[in-house]
Amino acid sequence: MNSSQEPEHGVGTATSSAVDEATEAVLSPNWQVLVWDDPINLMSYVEYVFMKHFGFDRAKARERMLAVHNEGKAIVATGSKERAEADVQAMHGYGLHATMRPEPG
Amino acid sequence: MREFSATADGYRAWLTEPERWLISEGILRTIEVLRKTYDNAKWLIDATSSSRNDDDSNLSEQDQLAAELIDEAMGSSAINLARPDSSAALRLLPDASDDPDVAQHYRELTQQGLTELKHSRLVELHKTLTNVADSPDPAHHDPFDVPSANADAVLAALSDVRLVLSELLEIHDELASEELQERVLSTFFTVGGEDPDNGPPDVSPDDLVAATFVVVGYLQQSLVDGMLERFDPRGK
Repeated sequence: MNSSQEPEHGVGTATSSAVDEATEAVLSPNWQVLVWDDPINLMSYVEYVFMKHFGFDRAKARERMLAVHNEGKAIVATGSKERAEADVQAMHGYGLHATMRPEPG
Repeated sequence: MREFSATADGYRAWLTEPERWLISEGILRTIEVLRKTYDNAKWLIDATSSSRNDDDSNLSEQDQLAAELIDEAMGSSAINLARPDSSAALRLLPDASDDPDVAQHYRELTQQGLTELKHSRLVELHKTLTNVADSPDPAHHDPFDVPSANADAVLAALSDVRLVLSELLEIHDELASEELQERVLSTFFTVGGEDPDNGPPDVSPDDLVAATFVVVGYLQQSLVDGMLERFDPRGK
């Protein structure tokens, strides 16, 4: 879980837990979903797709869309590899150029 | 063309017969690109090409036949899960990763489903657009209705058409897109005029593709604007 949690009691437990988490992180890293800018898709369409698929509110959808537009690409989701594949598939279904990559360690 | 506006249960635009023809041609081109990702339907290249030539008076029926043939063939064909070799097909089925292994694994998981989804949306949209009696008056507008339940599919199909046409037109940046729009407006529209169809201007096939790209863009823009107006987060 995240680093703000209370540490577990006992050195042995904490150590094995840390090892388990490290192993899990190596075996199942988080994946990022990126959407890339293109000159064809309308800005309002990209905004709509983000609202529809990711459930973003209008302000967040617009902010992510503008990040795509201004910076060339933006991360729109992070999660398991399977989740990332599903998100990329949905974006491709809408005609957006999306890719996935392991979250940089 | 009169752009989409909201109705009680969806959205309605008004299109002339020439505008319907332009858009339906764009849809067929997009279906052709998808079809080429299939292994065993090569004969349809000829069937589709021959349906486009020669007899303009019968194009709508022939195009519909072509779409039905493609529909039938795709339903029984094995889908090629290799990376498409044309830039237009790659716009519809792009790489999911820089890592070739990840990208290929993704194609094996998704390419068939994505191809079928895109194809069925395009065929449905083509049928809707061409299922209108021809009018002798090229300025006559007929309604183009999109029920709310189908609006997502229509929006995405229009996006696919624009992606494919943009490859044919070699639009690779926003400036090129804007310049093309200006060229189309000056070629087909007079200031204050409404339609590109009063007395056909002297145009090339590329001009028609460009006009299709612009018309589809106007339609998509007005449809998505209406959908954003009405967006209900609970409908996700």
